[in-house]
Amino acid sequence: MAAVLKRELGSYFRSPIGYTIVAIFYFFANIFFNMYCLSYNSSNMSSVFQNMFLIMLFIIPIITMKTFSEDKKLGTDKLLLTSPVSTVKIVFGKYLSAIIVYAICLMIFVFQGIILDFYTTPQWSVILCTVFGMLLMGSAIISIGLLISSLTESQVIACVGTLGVGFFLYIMDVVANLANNSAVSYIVGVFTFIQRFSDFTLGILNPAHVLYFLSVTCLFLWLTVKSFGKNSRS
Amino acid sequence: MIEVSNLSKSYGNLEAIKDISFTAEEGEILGLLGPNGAGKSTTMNIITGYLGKTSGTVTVDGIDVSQKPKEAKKKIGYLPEIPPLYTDMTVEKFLGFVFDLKCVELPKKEHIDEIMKTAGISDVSGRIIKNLSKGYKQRVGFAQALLGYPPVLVLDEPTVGLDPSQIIEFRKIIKGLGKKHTIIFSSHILSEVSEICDRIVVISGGKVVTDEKTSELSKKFADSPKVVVEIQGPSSEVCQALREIEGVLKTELLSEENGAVKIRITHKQEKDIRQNIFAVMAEKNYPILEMGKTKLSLEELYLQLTASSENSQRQNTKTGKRGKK
Repeated sequence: MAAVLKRELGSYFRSPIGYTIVAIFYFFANIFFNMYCLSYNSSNMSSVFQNMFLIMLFIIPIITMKTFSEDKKLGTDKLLLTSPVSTVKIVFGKYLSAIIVYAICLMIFVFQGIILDFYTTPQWSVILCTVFGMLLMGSAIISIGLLISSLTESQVIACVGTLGVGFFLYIMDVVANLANNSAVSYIVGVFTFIQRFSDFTLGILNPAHVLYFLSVTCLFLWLTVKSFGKNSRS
Repeated sequence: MIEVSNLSKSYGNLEAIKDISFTAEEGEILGLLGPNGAGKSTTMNIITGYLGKTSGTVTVDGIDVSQKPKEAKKKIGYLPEIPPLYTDMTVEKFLGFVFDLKCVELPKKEHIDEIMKTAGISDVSGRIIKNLSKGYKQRVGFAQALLGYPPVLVLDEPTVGLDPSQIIEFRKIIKGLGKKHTIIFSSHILSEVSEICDRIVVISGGKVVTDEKTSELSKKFADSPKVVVEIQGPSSEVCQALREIEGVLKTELLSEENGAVKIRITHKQEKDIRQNIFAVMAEKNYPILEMGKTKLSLEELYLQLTASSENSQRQNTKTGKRGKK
């Protein structure tokens, strides 16, 4: 697994992809930080987080799009699948590498907190709780992205597909409100990402939400394992 | 070492391979021969554990590939048709990655250097694979398969895309490796297979058509020797004269150009008729431009073997199409 993780991480940063992803994320994070915190003299970063949600939805598909589809295109899936490493380890190695790139993106919020710390006392509990929430939710969306990437050899389809799922998760709550139907609202209430995430932004660490995002991650990683190794089963 | 028995694989209604069985002994080079789309790659993909089978068994060194894939895969080095290379890495880094991936327990640096030397890629070790030529990419793919010196090497058309001198070099390497490794080698070029391999398995239309030792196969079909001659002279008279020579069974006109005719002569086994041809033609004053024994019998055998099953396959697909309509 370590070999796969090392190679995947290397592949992000041997090419401009990794740097571009991190740079774009930092760019927007700092714009919002400037707008909502520095120019308003506010130590409340919740607006920054809410705006970065959308950027996150854009960034994650770009992180995950090449994970499996590139292997299919290059034929390197044959190398991976005929090596004495289990599919679970291969998928987990790729997942970890994507999570690490994503975590590097999220680091910016900690730095922003440190900047605020020079002027005032920021609510560290809220900041750290939100970053943790973003990491968990990101992990769930990354695992969905991995599954979609494992289904196609086109990186474009993998990217657009994951983007579509992300936006569906984003507008799901709005649609439920408009529908004004109790059954729909109930279902959306169970599966919602945004409502759960907003609890994190308030500094509430609800174990149910943590468990939910971890379950989604596990479910989709398991599906990815099944999808990636589907040809080699008898 | 490798035992394939009653192996079948179907995709929905399409049967890629049907009931394939063969064995390769330790230290044997086995050639899988067949036209494009015969099922060579499918067979190899199943042996290496990349594809699942529909029925049958594959054992490598006594280990069932589908029961204990991890152990079996440790024993196999695989070079697929398209070499599986991460093109954004340098040759050395890539081999380092494969080394770790295969959990090879040898001193890393020395082993990789040795493999690069064997595959002849030491001089490009620091270059990014993307920028290498096709021949070099093929060699990197070969080096990747050889890492850790697995007892079994499965090479899918390894010489495709190489230039002639590279092909000769490659064959030499494979022949050398055949002493220590069991090698399955696929190709659609017969001369290549007959030169390198100890045993030839001909696959066509997803079935094994022949499975024989190379020496026996050539012996078996050497019973109707042939001579090809190019003679300056009118075709009908030349043919007539040739047919009158004792021992000649059949003459075939291959081509006619600038007053010279190329003729293939089939004759009886016991006799070398070349002297007689010379004497007759000299007498009739038809100069012989070229004359030689042909090794075409094996090629013809191959065509015969594959043509019959291809025909039946074509008929199958035709009926299949009709069935769909």
